[in-house]
Amino acid sequence: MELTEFGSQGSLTAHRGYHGYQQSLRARTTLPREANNNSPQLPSENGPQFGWGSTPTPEEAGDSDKNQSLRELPLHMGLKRAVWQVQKMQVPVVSRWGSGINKYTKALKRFRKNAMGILVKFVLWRKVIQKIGGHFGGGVQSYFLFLRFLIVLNFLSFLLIAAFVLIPNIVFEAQGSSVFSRTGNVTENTNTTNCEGYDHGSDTLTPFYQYFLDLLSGTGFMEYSYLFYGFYQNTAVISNGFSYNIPLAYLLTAAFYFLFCLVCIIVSMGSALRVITAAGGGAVGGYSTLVFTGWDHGLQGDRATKLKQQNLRHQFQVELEEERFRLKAASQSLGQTVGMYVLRIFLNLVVFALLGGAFYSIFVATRFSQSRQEEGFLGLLLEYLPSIVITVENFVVPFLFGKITILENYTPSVTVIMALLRAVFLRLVSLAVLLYTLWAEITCGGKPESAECLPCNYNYNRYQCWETRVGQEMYKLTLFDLLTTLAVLILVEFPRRLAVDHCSCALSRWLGRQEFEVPSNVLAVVYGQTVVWTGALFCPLLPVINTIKFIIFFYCKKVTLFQNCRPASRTFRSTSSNFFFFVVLLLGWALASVTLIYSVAVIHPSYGCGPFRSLLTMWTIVPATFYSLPNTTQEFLFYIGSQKFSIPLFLSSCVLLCFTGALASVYGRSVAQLKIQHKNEGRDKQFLVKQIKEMSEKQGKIQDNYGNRGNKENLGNRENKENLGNPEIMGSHGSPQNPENHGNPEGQKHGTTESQENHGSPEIKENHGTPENHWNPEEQNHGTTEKGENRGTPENQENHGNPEIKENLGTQENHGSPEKNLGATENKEVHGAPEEENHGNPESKENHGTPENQENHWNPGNEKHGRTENKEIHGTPEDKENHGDPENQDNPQNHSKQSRTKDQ
Amino acid sequence: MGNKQTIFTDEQLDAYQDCTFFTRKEILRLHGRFHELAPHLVPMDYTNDPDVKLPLALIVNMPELKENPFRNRIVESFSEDGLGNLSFNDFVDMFSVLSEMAPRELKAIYAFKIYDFNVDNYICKEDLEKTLNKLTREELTPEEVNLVCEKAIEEADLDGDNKLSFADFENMISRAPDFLSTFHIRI
Repeated sequence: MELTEFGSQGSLTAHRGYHGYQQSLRARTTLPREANNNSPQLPSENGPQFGWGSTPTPEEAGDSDKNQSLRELPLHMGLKRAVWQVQKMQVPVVSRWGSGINKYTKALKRFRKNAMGILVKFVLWRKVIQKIGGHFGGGVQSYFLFLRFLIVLNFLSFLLIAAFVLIPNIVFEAQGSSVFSRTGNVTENTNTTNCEGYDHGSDTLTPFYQYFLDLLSGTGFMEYSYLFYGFYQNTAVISNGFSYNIPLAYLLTAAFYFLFCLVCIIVSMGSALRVITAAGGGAVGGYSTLVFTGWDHGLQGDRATKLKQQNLRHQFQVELEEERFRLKAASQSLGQTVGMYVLRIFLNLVVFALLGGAFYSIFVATRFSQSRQEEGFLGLLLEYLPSIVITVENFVVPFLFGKITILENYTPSVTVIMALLRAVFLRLVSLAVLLYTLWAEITCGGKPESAECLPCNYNYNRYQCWETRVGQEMYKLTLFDLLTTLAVLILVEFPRRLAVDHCSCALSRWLGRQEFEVPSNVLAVVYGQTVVWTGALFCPLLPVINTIKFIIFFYCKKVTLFQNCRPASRTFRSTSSNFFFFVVLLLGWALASVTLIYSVAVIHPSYGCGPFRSLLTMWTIVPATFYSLPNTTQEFLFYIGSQKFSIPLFLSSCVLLCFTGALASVYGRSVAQLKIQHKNEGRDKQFLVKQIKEMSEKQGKIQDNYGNRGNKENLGNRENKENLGNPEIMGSHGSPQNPENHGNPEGQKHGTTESQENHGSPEIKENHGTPENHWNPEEQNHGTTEKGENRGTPENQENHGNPEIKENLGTQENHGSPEKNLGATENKEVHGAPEEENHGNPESKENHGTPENQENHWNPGNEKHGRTENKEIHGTPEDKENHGDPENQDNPQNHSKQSRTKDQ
Repeated sequence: MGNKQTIFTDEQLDAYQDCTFFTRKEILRLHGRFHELAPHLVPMDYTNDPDVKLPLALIVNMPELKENPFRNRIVESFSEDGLGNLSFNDFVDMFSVLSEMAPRELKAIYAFKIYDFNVDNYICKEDLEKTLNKLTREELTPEEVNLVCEKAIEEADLDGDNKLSFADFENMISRAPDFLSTFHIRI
């Protein structure tokens, strides 16, 4: 049972322990042989360092926990293997049944591990992303992870759409129209027949290049295909019990697609957020984290490390600059401040003017391209005009924004954020402007009663099938985005790199290699994804196109990253930036879902094409289907939608929300309190160390004479169970410079420490006194009762006359004699009560984990500590008094003197 | 299987597997790497735990460590004798702690060791200056280094002793989001 006891104590030291270098090599290498014997009794000098207890006994922990903890121990491999061997030896102790289970769980675990190992290999681009992380750090890696997330998301979306819309459509088409039955006879107006025509490109012979142009603009042979809304049928199949309503499926799939994306984003966002909150909200200042976690140990290659070093230097300088900036801002005069704000307001106006101009140009370009019909290449150019304008603006305007924000005189970090926010705004709003323009064109500016729109509720003359048109726009945007990326890669990035590498003129040196800017790249991807979401309703195959596009993106970006780029001088923190990416993505999602809801609920669908022809709005299909459901289902759904259900639901969720909120605030408060406590404890420790230092300096080296006597005695004293169980004591037993004194050197020391504390501040007594008590059950009483407390109280003298103490004295005199153990036990009896208390005191256990203790664990010079304290006792005025006092035997020094004389 | 058994016994592999964050395959690969460093010193047969140690100079030439400014400290921190001589056990240990799977607490302990240049169990200003110079290739001016050191200590030092104890360090690390991803060597 000694082992278990040992274990419970040692585990604390092992987990907390920072073992430092005090272990001798020999001590460690001898261990395995010891361990092989499975002997619980280790040589005492090895005891504390080994952290035996880190191996919980089988009753305490399962097999897996054991291995887990073994792995996580900060021990050297030789030790771990030794411990592992001991653990293995312990297994047969378990019953046969238990061992069978053990074997089973072990096999299961191994299998799971292998399976995980195999699964990991299937993770998309694991190696590539790892390599990128290795060369360019976490920030760039997070971009690629984000891209991978979107690729997977798009692919899953495509599967969803294919399963519920595309494949049924293809199947029913192939079956022929025999089973078709038109749904929705709700043609509300008979004079709309002239709206039903849909002329989607003729099958006449076209020149070869026309195919190419069609492919790019989604017209001609592309227009009337599964790619776009217009091709899908408004049919429902009803045959013996099986019914499939394509319009309904189309709508619900789109809705589920949006929900699915939302859930994916929220889940990923949650995990990103969890990392941030676990890190304390990132509230730590930049310097310490930058110093200690700034280096990415995964970096390989000379170039990458050099760049990283430059990068870090830059970051430090930026931080310092920010500091200086803040100081400067604080010392600015009123006039300067006003001037700065005027400048900022002016520049903001410029920014708004730029944005306004950009949006207006998109508006004009869209209108122009929608109103003109040209053939051939000019037509293609016209078709692509909005895309070109948007892309050009996205290149030029953020660049201008960057320049403007520098003028604005913000701190460097704010500058980056401002430029980025403006770029986000530009991207998303330019898309919104495009959509608005299209909407205005389609619905005649929202006035269906105007002359152009009157017959069909939308501008039929120009848009026979407006949904397809919107889908085409989004298709073109997606395609153009891809083409520009490729073009920039080939026409700008490669030449630039060649120029920089092979030409030494001033311009190329000024340009330098291109930086891989994570934020702007992420923005581009988010923009692409937003376009896809917007167009998904009108172009159901857009997700699969986007999957391919992003895969191409992935490889292009990888190539350009390795070939052309150097890491950005200002890195984005990968964790916080991850969260930011998802926020921007969510914004894009919101924009797209507004478009979706509006077009589903408000605009009249085309008469001539698509699954919703002949319906008032797309949404009409849902109520229509709803009323065709069985009565019970209807009632049930009505009930769910009714106030009877929704109000209690609302209330209960409110209660839950309040509860969670309260819980969160309580946790927050307790965290804050713990932080304060931690701080205070650190200060206490600081104070104590300072006092001890002062005292020791004052006293000089009086006690050095008290050499190593009695040590032998102590070593021989192994039978003492308490000592064996207590690593601290064992450690000091092994150390040669242990100041002698009777039996238990530490007891005295710690006792005296405590008396000091009491002089200093009353609260500390608790803190510091308890851990020592724990370490040293027997002797601590001397310290607490006789010194610590008595000194503080006026009954000092009375206590001295206390019979208990006298008994104590008697026992202490024995300390020099062979019956030392006896003395110790007697001691125990005398002071039984307070000692038990201290033992059971939970604080004392807690204190094991506090920094003070740790320090002691690491500190190989524990003994030193003790010695200095011993000296102090001599110097304290109370001690002098005691010297003159006949009852001063409780003073350790006297004891030692006595024992020495006896020995002699 | 035959090939495996010539290097390690099954039991050894089990032990390594349970004591590190590696699989059998990875252990064998690590042995391969270790062997590569000094083919004439490191035997292929490890079944009887030969006591072979490679000096620091050999270890830091690995491509994974070659450019790392902290390479000497890393190797020293993981060597049993503190001088940088690594046995295979230490070698495996090092990459286990630096692997992806190792928990934050374990990494923090060794990170502290690495940044504690003078091995006094505190990260003092001197250590920080060394760290900074390694991080920035000594391209910051002395005043800048001084400022950064002061700021860093001021931020992370909870008990006000002007140096960072392990508790301070751990506390700081626990709030640094990127630590896990950066204290990581892929092998």
